[in-house]
Amino acid sequence: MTDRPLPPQFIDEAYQPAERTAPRPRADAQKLTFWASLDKTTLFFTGLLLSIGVMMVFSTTFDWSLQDYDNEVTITMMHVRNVLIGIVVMLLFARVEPQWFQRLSLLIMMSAVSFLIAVLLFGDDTFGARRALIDGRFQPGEFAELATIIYLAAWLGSKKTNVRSFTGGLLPFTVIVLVVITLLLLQPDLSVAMTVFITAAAMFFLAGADLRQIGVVIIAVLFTGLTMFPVLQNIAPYATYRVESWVVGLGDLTQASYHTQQAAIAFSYGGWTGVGLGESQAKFRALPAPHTDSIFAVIGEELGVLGAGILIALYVVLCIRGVQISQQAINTYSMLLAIGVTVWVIIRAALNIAVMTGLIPPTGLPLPFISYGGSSLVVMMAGIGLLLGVHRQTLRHQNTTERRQTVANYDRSRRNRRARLPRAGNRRSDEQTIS
Amino acid sequence: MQDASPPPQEQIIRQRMSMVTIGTIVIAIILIIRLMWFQFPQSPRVVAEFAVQRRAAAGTTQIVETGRGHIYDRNGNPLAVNRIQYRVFISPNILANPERTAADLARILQRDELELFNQLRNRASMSEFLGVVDAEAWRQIRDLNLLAVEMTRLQRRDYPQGSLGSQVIGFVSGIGDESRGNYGVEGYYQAQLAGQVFEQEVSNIPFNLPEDLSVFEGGADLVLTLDRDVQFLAESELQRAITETGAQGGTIIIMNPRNGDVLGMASYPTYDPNFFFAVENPALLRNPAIMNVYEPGSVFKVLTVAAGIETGVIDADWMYNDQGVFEVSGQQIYNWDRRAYGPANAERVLVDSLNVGVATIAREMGPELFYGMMNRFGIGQPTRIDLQGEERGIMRTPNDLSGEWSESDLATNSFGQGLSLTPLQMLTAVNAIANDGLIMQPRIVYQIIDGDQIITSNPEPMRQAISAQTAGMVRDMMVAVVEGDLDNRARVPGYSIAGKTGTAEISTPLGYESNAWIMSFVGFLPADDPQVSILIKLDRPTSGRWASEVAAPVFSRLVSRLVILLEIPNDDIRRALTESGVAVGEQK
Repeated sequence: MTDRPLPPQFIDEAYQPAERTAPRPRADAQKLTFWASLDKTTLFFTGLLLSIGVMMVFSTTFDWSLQDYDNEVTITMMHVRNVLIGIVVMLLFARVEPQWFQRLSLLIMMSAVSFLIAVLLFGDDTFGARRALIDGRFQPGEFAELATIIYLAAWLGSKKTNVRSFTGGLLPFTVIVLVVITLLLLQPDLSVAMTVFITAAAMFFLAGADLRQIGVVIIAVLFTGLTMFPVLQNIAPYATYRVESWVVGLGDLTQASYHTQQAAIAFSYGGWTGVGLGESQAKFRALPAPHTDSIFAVIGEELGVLGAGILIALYVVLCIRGVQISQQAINTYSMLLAIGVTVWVIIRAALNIAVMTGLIPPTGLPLPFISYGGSSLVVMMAGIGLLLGVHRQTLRHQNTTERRQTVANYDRSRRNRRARLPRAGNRRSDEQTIS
Repeated sequence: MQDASPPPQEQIIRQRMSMVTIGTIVIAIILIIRLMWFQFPQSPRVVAEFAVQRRAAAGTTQIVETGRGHIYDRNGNPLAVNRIQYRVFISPNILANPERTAADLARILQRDELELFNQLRNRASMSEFLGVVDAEAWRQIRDLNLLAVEMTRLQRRDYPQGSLGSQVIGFVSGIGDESRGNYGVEGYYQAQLAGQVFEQEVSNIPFNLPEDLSVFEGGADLVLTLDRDVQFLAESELQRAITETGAQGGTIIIMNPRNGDVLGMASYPTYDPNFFFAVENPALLRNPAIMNVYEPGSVFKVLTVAAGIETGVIDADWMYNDQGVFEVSGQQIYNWDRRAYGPANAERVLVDSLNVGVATIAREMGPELFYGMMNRFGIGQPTRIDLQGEERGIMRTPNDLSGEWSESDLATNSFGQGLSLTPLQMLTAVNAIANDGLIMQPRIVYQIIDGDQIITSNPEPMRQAISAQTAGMVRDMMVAVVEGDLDNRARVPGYSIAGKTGTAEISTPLGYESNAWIMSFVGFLPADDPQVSILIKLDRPTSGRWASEVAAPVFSRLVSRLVILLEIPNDDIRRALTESGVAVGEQK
């Protein structure tokens, strides 16, 4: 049976009100408030990253904000507005029961695919294909990332051990992922396609895929990658150039692409402790898009290896917390959802930083929670909302279990439990009781 | 209530989940090591390259020009100014939206959109040149707020009057450091006009203060003696004359003999200095009035007669018997119509333009006196006018080391053959007669305005060529020429005019051309108090055989309009005004 570790201190926090109010007769007092059910660790580290983001966006935009809007903080305030929207979206997603996403997963996935198709159809006449949807504020590619995670969590979660079989696992998985990736490549949006692929593959592996199948996938990807290279050249000619200059640049920094080289210069001049907050030189002209894609290079220059390293550590902490939430989740769907979001955030951060440090070919990905941006920031925050939602589900489940144990003594909150926790809890509560 | 063990999938997920943490930590360590790697010494080549790029990114060096001085006519009308233009470059490699940008720029640059789009689509290109635009288009492009667009300032010389006075003003070629005035005033006053060209460090870092540019001054402005309206009159009359006479080219110079000011200096054919680069025949860029020499012909006779009087060889009573032919070193010289005029005095020599007469005077003077006097008139020497590239002409003298001078040269020189000079030299010499024997230094620049300092050039006497008395005598003779034998063709009603025609053969290395002449007229008015002197020269006119038929009417027409322009009252009014004590004759 389960030797799952008992809930750590976070659960204890949630217990506290229950224990403290346990003697009290009124049932309502036992109910977890929304605020109490939110995971403070995730909130804290996300908030820290967002604050660093606002700080760095100001550092990188005050110059041309002053030029273009006669005010140093205008662009920063636009970013702050996006952050606030992101927080609202995060809270909404945290509020909704994870099961709802499970039930709607097919619908979500289908709408994501139709958005992607809509973009290809209506985005024809302008280069910015994404503009076709909701006044240019909505990028279906970003939404597709989230939708894929939700759908794969629901699908892989319901598969149980069937994931191992070829027809039940690898084949449908490949079809689903291929459809999304193909639509993304047609935009073309290589960066998002890559993020979707790596996240999906990670989830497939975590969901219990046969390791031999994973091997097949890797070989297939390598093979396709090599044979499709000429085709890629047609879809996105600049990609070939990027890959070539990356290969050369790995050996000799002076031959690297302009962007990589400028980032390397920023890191070199930043030193161990940086040139000081706001003092970056590279952000003024040398680095392209210093407030979005290149923001990590600016952090490296201004705050040095120390600051950049701390930033990386923050992502690691966020990851560890995400894994913990996933481990405590009450069913496979919630586990996969939580781990999927975690992997997704980490991959996006890792890709951005790896690009900036010249370890992989340049792609246009923002740094999660830090870079200036609307739709990508909001989608990332929605992901965090899902993570919080899974945690709430766990907490409530445990709370119910706890109360169920005390029901015998105090007999309360029956109504509440019935309304709040359907089926899933029952099985697990038994399990809890047994352990 | 089920009593089932957790499904195996849950276990697998839990097992594999730890790999996410491990993987993340591994990736984080790799990334941090990479960051540290940048801090360890790189190869010196990389360090040097980085240092260069770092410096290049910190700021750009801009070539800044302070303005070249403007050129104005004597009334302040602009003749040469500066126009600021911008060169537009674009970096397609960082261009976000080539289609939209191509549409916007095609509208502003008025270029074909598709062609422009193809230029912008080349993603590997770091910089594409899009063209040169004026300030208005520059403003529109700047308002597009494109990061990929870079525009550099460009100073271009602009000549608002077009071809007017172009051969006097010259033109500016090249840009920035290379810019340089050519010909005319632009060439002669290059040092004064030129602005400073210097490199300005423009920092990309907004914390750094911009360099102080106020220490750099622009070039000095010039105010010319040239009068735009007189110049226009001269050019239009010249063009009309050329059309009517079938001439191939010509020159008109209008001067004030009292102070040496050049009021107008027109030649044809000419060019537009705004498009000097499109001129196919480089000879057009030259100013024929000071750079092309010709044999003046009979106009020169006034100098011979003046020289004879000044040296005392002839006087008012001097007479000779014209036999129609003059022999020197076995060569015969005839009058223009091969007639023998019998006894004639100096005045008749000029009125009838007798070659035999002036040859006789010259022989009586002898080469030493004759050439001495010609030197005093400035023949064979540059006038030192402040225009670039003046020619000096050729006059052989007995003292020449080459020994090419011969006895017959003295005779032919006396009526303006066998020597060459520029139109300006000719007019300058005649100015001596107009200005009581005193030659004023010809000049084209009246004022130099350098910042808050204004340098006005004063009229400068060059030389007292002849006495005032001699000048008066020759002037009367020249009045007689206009009044006497020209069928009134050069006359302007109400004005006393002194003048002389010249019909010269055109010399080539193979001898004189047949059936082609340079016809000229030199005159000044009012004869008793000259305010303006004029030279008209027409090359190879076909409408007549003699300058009296061809050039004299042009003079008459020009003067009748010029006196209105310069507000020169007719003789009756002028004398009445002078008697009542009003000063007349000051140039406006």
